[in-house]
Amino acid sequence: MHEYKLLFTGTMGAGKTTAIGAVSDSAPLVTDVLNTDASVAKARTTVGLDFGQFTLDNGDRVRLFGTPGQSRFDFLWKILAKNALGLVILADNSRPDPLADLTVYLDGFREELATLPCVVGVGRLDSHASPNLDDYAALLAQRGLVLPLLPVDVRRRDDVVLLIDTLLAQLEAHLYEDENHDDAE
Amino acid sequence: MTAFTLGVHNLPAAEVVLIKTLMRLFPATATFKWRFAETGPFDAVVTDATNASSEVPAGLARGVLKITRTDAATDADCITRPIRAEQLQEWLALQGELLRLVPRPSVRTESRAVTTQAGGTRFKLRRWPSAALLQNDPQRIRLATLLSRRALAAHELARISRLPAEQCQAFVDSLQQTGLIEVVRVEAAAAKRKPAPSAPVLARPLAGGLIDGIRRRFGL
Repeated sequence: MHEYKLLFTGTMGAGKTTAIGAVSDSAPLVTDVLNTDASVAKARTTVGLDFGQFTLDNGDRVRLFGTPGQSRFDFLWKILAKNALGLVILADNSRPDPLADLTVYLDGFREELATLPCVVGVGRLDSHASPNLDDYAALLAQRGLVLPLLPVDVRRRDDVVLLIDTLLAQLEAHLYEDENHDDAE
Repeated sequence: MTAFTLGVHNLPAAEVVLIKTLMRLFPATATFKWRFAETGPFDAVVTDATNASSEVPAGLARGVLKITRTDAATDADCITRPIRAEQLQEWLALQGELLRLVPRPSVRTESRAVTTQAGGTRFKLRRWPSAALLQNDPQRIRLATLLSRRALAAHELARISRLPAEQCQAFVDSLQQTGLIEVVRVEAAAAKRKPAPSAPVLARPLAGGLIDGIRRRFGL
């Protein structure tokens, strides 16, 4: 049996715990505490990490980790990203400056993004239309990144599954290129 | 008379919104029939002349209006910022007259030209496509994702995605018409080829089974 890891990151309230719960075999383990950050209207927040998992038909397991949202815990992000299959960055469009929020995670995972499959899911676009997805794409382009960028409602399982499928497509692209390289030699 | 289509290419979002708004406000007359279009090819396109990456790809539009910095306009196809309604309307009216003199090429001809060009090339995304182009369609999103990671020919795209080759080619064509993909010659790609930065934890036999296993798990 093999075990793999997918990582979910994003700001407080972006929906990491909910996203993990949407695809986990069991309710995610959470390490929430009372939120003492008065700037965020949320009673509880994750200070450690969230954990869920799902099992494949061959017995392999995919573990789902949610990072703590606050950037002061960024030392944990790199630890969690080690040997991950992919990274889901969740953006909350209802926050004052979601593009700046995204920048924090792009910086925090800068080294990993050179190889690690990554997708950005933008939540609450229905109620907060600006910035739109094209604004996010422009930000990524300014940083020389072309990452999949999807609207997401983490309460909807299909949306979370699509994020995961997008990570898988990136893995497939890598593998195909590997095969071509070997063929050429 | 069929309305002419106006698109935008690499313009700041605020100016795109402005142009869309103006296009809704311009009254349609017997000699002025224009509408805004999200995807090309267009009859005319507005682009940012101050951005070096804003060169309009061949075949995207027959007329190009460049937006420049204040007092930098140099020709009739150039207007200065801020975009003024009367200037845009005037340019579109003139452009409409010119376009009526030159028949619009058939879509079939344009499509074939792109396909022929694509024969010996691979494509890689420069920037994630607009939501309007992807339409939140999982298949389009998967194709765009593959192209975001690697330069691929349309037939390679079809092989990896297991989608029909015609569908992949059509998607590549639409990306190319909007200037979102970089064309990579196969010879150049082969010369530069080096081991891909594979996802670090995956051995290939494991990876194929894992990907299929996860997709089965979620009914994909």
